[in-house]
Amino acid sequence: MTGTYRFIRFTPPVNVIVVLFILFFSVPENLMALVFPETELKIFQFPANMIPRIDGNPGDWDIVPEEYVYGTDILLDVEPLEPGNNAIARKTPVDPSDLDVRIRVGWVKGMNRLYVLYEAYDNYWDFGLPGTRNDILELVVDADLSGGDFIFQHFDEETYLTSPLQRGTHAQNYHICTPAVDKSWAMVWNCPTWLNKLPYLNCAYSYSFKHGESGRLIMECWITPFDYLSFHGPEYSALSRLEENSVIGFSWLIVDWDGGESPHALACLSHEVMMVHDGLYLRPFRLMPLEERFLKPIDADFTFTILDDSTRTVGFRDLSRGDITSWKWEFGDGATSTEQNPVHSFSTPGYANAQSATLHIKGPAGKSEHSLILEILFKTTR
Amino acid sequence: MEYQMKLPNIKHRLLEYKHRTSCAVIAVLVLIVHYSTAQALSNPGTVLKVFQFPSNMIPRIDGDPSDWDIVTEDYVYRTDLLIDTEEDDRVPRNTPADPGSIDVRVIVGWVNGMNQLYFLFEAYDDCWEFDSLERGQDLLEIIVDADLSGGDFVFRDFDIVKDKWSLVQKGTHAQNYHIYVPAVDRSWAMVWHCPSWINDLPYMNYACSYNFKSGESGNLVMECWITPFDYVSFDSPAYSSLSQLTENSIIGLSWVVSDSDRGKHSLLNLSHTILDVHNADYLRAFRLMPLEERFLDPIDAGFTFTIVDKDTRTVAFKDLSHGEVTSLKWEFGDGSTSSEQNPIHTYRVNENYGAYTVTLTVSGPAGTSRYSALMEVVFR
Repeated sequence: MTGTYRFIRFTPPVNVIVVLFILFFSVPENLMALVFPETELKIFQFPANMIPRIDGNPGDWDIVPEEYVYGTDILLDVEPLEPGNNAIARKTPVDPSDLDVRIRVGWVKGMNRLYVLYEAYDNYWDFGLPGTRNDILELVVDADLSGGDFIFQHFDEETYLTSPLQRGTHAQNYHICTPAVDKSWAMVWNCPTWLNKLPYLNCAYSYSFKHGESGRLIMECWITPFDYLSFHGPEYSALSRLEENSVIGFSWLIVDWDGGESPHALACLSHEVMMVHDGLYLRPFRLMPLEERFLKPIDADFTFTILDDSTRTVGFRDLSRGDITSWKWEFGDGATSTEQNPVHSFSTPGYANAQSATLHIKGPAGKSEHSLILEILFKTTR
Repeated sequence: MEYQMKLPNIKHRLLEYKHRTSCAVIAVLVLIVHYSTAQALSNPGTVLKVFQFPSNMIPRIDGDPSDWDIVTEDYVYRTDLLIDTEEDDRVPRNTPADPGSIDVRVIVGWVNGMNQLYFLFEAYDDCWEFDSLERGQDLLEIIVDADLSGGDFVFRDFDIVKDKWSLVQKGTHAQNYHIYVPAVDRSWAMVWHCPSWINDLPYMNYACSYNFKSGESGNLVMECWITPFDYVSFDSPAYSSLSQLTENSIIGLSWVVSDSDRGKHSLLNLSHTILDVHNADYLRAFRLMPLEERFLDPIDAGFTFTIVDKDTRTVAFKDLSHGEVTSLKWEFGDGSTSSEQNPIHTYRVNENYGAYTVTLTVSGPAGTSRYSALMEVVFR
């Protein structure tokens, strides 16, 4: 993490050259959309029976090891030195006696959600006013690394201020209120309002301070990343596909108001405030596989694709784990195969047009074995 | 038994003569006059209940039933409601379930805004069987038709050559989940005539806890969520239509405990007729209950809005506040206010980049409450 620090303190032109150098010579192609591709962060995979309940109680997260916890030390305060001018920022470390945070991110294979646990100490929690002047955790996500500006920057000649205009919705910036009292959980910048409610967003808090006091807050949430968001509704939008071992663009920025007229600090994981509107400035986060301790040493698993319903032809793909020396497939029509990834045409439709396939796997010397049976239901074709 | 309504018998008899127009007209009249909301169901008189969980108490699907402790006893449906509908020589037994053989406790939950139904199934069985489908596998069948579309969702064909009934896929406007209790080395469930994406995350989740081997007796806990669909397409979820679950509405739901005990088999059915496994007319009426008072503040501001015309920036607001309200104040975020309950407001010009924070403040005997929708009114 210290390497990233040094890197960020360069003046912008050198910064850009270094970035280009890194982009062209040392980075896998899929990460070329990111400005900071060199330090990969991690998203913990929860098993399906340990999905955190969004209730403000962090106990569900005890299974997440310390290496997934991202703290205050990797954030930089990117508050502009001149109001409205993002080009000149403080870029100073965040003082943990002012704001001290611990953030963990999780995902579940098969669910299109990111789970976030935010634990923070603040010397002044600011949430008393009804509007967007509130302590905020900005979560910015661009799961398919589409990159680029997702909010237009419009320069107003009269006020000399840069103002955001809606552009596209290929990445999302959630402004999550910490805490949200008498107001929406979140404002998702320039996004339709159906996004900041169930089933796409869920938030829960626990804290015991009042506005203006210091103390500790726990915020748990899930968000649903979209590759494209439509104002016409979810049915015109495209959910992001979260896949094991793939890298997504993600970052956060904490807007810490301490009772003043402007935020006291903008504690930023990307070290560049541009992350709030430009997907290029997000950090690479890897959707990690399940840890070994949640897995059996040998475990039969497979998926299948129906290639043709009328001939009941199915392609099987072995996904078993462990040291496997033999595969045996038993199909519901009596046929068998010892291939690892067979293609089979079922000779009979089976009861209710449903067939089954059983995979038996064996380890060295037949010492360990396991089986899995799945039903395959065919579409009736006439 | 009070749950066994008289109507099913009448309706059943009518269905046998459904080609006669006069009978059909009478059936329609009877149903419209007596049962307007649940007319697609044959047991509409007794409405059962689906518990609403608050969004911060959604049960975690982990096999530990403690998340369900907040659910009160009036939501618990037990063995005494079930009738054994297994057929001996094509004659249904229609006998009460024997709690000495299998004793169950089922609770159904939902969460406003989520398109899922949550189930807790706790059961004692004197003989759990889960060796294989052929040798015996205990099942919980859950049949759901959330939009009360009704009717046969699985064809039954009588095969003259084989002298037996066979099932042919028809439509997928209702779903029958065969959930394995427990599922060992197999998928969690098989959903009759439905594509296999429906019985996996994110549409289904499942967890079981138990401490017995196949053939032994004991207690089992199964937790799951399922996602009801008004239409399921074999091609993909993108061509399917999720059921919209709305507070206070009625859905069609039933369950059948398929209990295998060393060759002896029973089908303990909440609908009291085996027709429910393939015909959604025979499901029971379940109401998606509102949140209980104990989870709500005595007065709590809330609202929704609809953009009526984005060109003239006209927005219709709808008050959804909870509790007794004597006065309301709307602040539309452009300096103007209203004290109507459900105002229609036209924004003059696009200020603040076309995104407005609207605040509703309500007052009543229990005090004052405020809710702000942060920059949610957005004009493209």
